[in-house]
Amino acid sequence: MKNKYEYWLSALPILSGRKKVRMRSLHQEAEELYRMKPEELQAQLGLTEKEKEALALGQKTPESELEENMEFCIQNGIGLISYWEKEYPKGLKNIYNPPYGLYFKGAFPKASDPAIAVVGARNCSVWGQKTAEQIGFRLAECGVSVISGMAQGIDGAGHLGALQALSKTEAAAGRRNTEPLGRFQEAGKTYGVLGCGIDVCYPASHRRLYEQLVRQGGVISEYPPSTRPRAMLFPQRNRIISGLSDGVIVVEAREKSGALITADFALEQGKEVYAVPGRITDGLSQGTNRLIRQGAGIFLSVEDFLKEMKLFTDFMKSSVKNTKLSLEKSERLVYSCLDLSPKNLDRLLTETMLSIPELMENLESLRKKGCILEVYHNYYIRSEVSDFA
Amino acid sequence: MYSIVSTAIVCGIQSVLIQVEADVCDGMPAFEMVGVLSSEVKEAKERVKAAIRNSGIRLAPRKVTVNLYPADIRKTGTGFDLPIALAVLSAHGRVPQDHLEGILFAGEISLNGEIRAAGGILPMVLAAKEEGKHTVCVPRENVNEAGIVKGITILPADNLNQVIAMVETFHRSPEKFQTSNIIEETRQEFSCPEFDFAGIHGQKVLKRACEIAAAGRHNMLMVGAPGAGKTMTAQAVATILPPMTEEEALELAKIYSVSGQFEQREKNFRTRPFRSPHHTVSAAGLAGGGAVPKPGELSLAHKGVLFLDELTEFKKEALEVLRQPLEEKVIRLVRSAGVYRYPADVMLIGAMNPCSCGYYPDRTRCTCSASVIERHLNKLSRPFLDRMDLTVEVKRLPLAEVISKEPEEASSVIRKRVQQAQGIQRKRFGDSGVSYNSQIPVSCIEEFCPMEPEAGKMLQESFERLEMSARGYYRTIRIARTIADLGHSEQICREHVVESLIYRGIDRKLWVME
Repeated sequence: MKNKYEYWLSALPILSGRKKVRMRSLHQEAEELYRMKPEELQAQLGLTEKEKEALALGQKTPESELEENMEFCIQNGIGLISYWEKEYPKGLKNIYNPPYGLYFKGAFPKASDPAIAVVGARNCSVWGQKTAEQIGFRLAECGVSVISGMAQGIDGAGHLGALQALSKTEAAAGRRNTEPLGRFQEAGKTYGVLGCGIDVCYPASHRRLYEQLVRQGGVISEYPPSTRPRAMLFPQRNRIISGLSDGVIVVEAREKSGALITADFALEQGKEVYAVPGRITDGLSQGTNRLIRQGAGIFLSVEDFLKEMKLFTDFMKSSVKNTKLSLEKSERLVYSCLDLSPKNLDRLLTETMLSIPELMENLESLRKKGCILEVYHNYYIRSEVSDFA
Repeated sequence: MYSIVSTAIVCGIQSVLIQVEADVCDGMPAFEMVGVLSSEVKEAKERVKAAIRNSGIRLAPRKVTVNLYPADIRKTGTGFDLPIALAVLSAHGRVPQDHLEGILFAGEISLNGEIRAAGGILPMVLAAKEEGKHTVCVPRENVNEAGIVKGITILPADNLNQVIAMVETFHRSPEKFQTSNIIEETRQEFSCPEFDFAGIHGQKVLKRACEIAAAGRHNMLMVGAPGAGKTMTAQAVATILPPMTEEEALELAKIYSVSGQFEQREKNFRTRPFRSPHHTVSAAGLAGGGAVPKPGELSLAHKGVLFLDELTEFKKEALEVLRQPLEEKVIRLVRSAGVYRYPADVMLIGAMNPCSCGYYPDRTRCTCSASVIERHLNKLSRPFLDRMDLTVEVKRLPLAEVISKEPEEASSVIRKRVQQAQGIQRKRFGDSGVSYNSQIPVSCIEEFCPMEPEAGKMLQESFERLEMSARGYYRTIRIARTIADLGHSEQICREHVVESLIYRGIDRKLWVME
């Protein structure tokens, strides 16, 4: 039974998850640890001076405050799953330094659900962003959970794609709610693993994504509530991302990227690592291509990936259909010049040989038809990427 | 004996006539000067005494009193030396008073009697003409400057003795001195500097934006990587502006005259100015300032282009000081001595990098994080950005395009279109006080900017889709108006609105990716 002492142990700073697990395995109740002499524990576990002091300091917290801390979590809908509970992810149980407790808001990944991590650079290209979105979307459509770090760039795009799939299937289910629900495969959920307290939204610009995740998926963190984001916390949370997943897809990464840390953890934990290949000259493909060179799988499409992973053999057909676009001749000309890497007006003018008003008119009508997106000021891409997924 | 000589003083870019009186009487030898004088005018006493002596003129030791009136104006500047010297000589009976009548004198004098150049000659000469003087006597170095004013006789002064001889000759036979426009040819000349749009390859959108900006005198912001050609483009914009009218050129020449930089206008009297102050410029340097305020860069670019490169590096207070004069087209500097008004009707062109490294949105090269980019953009205040009517990207070109031999439109061709569009604007606005589309007040938008229903619908949609501000909405209409004028269309059509949206300002949502 989880009591306030479990909450206390989870939130104890300095001591690693590994030490906490060992400490707890020697004693019946967390309460015992709260009351024991720190010197005694030090002798039992070989704690360092610093760890002992942290423990001693933690034990001085009055019981009323422990109560308050637990109440705070319960009041704010923050759940805690500790190492000993059966819901605790198996993938994390046997890693070198498992988190002692996992805080979560929203849902918590079920052991039975397949899960894939989609990670990559924060300062990514539009192409990378769209690719990650598409991968997230297709994975979720096939009922696979998407795990990522809720960071800017690729991570956020992966979540966003999955959330779109979720809303789409929910809408479809809602439309035909007279029919038996079983006919509709449930879309995979998406979970964000944070490097700060569960109630802190970092980056602040992802407030909407955060709220959506809480509502339609879940956010997870090993750090106690209200922990401020600090650079040193983020590499560590990556072990949770890989631990929760059956495999990791790296979409875009520079030579030195946090996503590569996730890939390292995944290999350490015996998980599959796949990388989306890129041009060798692109800075944002250096990391991913190097992974491939080191033996990572090459990501070609979600179907191919899932087959390789032996996760599914019969998955749902993509709901994105290659609908024939009915475009006028000049629209087709402009559309054919566009792809997933953003092009500005000058390039389009040179490539299409149209005049400025003609080009703008065509772009405007294409935009209205939903075929293209303006990703930056006067930079356009195709909005659909149906040919690859 | 008593004598009186005319001169003038410069206030802002206006000039006021001043009379110098001298009285010589018996008594203890002395030299007194009165009439609210600043220190440089007080020092004239010593210069004048030495100059007269060194010119070989011996004056009897008597009591000399010099008065400058009207007494309620503080006298500043160095142009008083020559008139004071002449007044003293005349009072001593060395120069007949009637030789000095009807002539305005100005000039600094050196200890050996030579006459040196003085600032602000042009406004003085203009004031003299208005007050009915037929002749001015100015230092030889300032003759060209004075010669801009039509219908006035100019006596070039070299040294004191020469001036005394010259006024005598002039008195006897004024027909020997022509009433001429010394630089008549220069007045007509319109020189185009070496920067020409023919030398800028590719960059169609940018060129089009320049044309629109020039036609409607809209302010423009260029965003682009270092070395993409922002400065060159800005200089080229000055070449597609039509030449100044006589009136405009004269007003600008006055500003340069007052700031002692007239020689810059001499060669290209009708060409519009192009000023690009360095980003370390102070607020006073930009807007004008000093105890006796001098015009700043803003006024020196009057009727022309003020180019601010590396906009994000400018001091915030320097940029904020521009806000009000950009609206009012004039800058008022208030000092205890009075209010100085300098005209400041400029077309502002700004240039900046899209992010700290300069490569955004090319993510394969730019490594700036979203927060870094946002901080970079936040260096410019919202109200300042709001005053930039057109925003356009400048992209670094591949070498092949830079050295391509393909002929590009020359500035003179573009200038013709700009002139036509401005002609249409003049006709439309008549004497409503508006001269360019960028100045159409919100209350007159409906009157001057009739729109096809299709265009109105398009605008409405865009307003909602792009979450425009009210200011952005009207800005779009004004730019669409200019585009329609360039296309000789009376109404604003859908295509004009669609095109105007290209140049809308940096809205953070599309610039910084979420």
